[in-house]
Amino acid sequence: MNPKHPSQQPMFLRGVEDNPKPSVYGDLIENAKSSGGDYWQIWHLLAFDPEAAHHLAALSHTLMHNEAPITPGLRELIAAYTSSLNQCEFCMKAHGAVAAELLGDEALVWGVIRDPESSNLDDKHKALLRFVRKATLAPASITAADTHELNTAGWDDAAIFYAISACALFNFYNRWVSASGVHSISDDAFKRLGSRMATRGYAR
Amino acid sequence: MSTPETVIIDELFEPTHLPLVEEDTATGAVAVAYADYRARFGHEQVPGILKCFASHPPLLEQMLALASSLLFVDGHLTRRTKEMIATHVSVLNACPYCLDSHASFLHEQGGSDQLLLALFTGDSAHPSIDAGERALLSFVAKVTDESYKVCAGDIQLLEDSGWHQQQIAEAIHITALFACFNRVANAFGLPSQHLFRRDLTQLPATEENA
Repeated sequence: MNPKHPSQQPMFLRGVEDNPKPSVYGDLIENAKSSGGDYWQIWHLLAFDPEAAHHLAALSHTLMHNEAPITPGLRELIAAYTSSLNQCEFCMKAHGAVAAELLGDEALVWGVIRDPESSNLDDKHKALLRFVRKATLAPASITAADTHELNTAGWDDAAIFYAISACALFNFYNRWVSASGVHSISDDAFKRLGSRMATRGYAR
Repeated sequence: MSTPETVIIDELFEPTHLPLVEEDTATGAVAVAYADYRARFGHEQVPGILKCFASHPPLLEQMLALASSLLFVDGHLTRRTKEMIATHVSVLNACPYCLDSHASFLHEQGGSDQLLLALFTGDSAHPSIDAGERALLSFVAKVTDESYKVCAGDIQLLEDSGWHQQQIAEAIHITALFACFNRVANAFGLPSQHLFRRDLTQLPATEENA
């Protein structure tokens, strides 16, 4: 293993990693390997089932990047925070980088990941992240009182829908990534790839 | 003679009041998506989770496309195994809506009453679950509750139980998908639709396995 390229550590699913199907993700992997750069091993999961990957990317792009009642920066912050709660280092750093790019405030993003309550977020946003925490860690205990609290804090139902959906989507990604053995990469590589995602979204 | 009834018990709680698009108010692309669902699955009722996404129509279409390509087809795993995973995860996440819905699908796919009762009660030692399935469900529980602890050794254990890597990859994908669906359903407070209407209360008690 080459310590300069942590992405080259094998995934748990070697059979998936070694057999990318012809697809845009297979091409991305080939290009990254030939240029010797770090790349996101999640591309191997996407190259495993390109049809499902196409639908997942379209859904993720709509949910996380397109115009919506809450900003892409806030949706990415929800993604990074959800990932931190699920202890998914890859998604936390990747989407922390996207959020930092979109919000223009890396310190804020890492403050939220450490603890939203003591971060520089305002009370309205803290209320939303408390809800995200509950949706991640204790979803069966959500009741009307929780959404009422968000309404009182100034979030309408359409905004709450996007917060739930972004949180739920990353509860998917976190498990998919962690259980498959997708490894973290260098901070520089996260910033580079995160910057691309911040401007162009999820669709390939 | 016993009356068929579900044994899935809804928790008594006040659900959230987030807006759903009901069938009689659906128009345009949403009405088309609902009609497609009814025709494809032969169900008169459109599932509640589609009504959640229908307030944002592009998401409805994309979510249906993803579920159709991943879940509602035989792949490396059979649909029966996929529905067994979906039911197991929904039990672990205490999601009455998804539990009812996917128990019903599992029954349609040939899942026995004994298997369903074993899944509902967390009795993975029950003989209706074979050794390979038991290993798979144990892995699914780890992915659901502690995915950050999964390691290469867990994959090896599954391979030793007869699962190949493509099947394991699909199992992870389906398990993760239900981490998402369960949270949407629970956050909306969707109740069980009572699609699964089998009386499991008359089954003999599950056997204790040494």
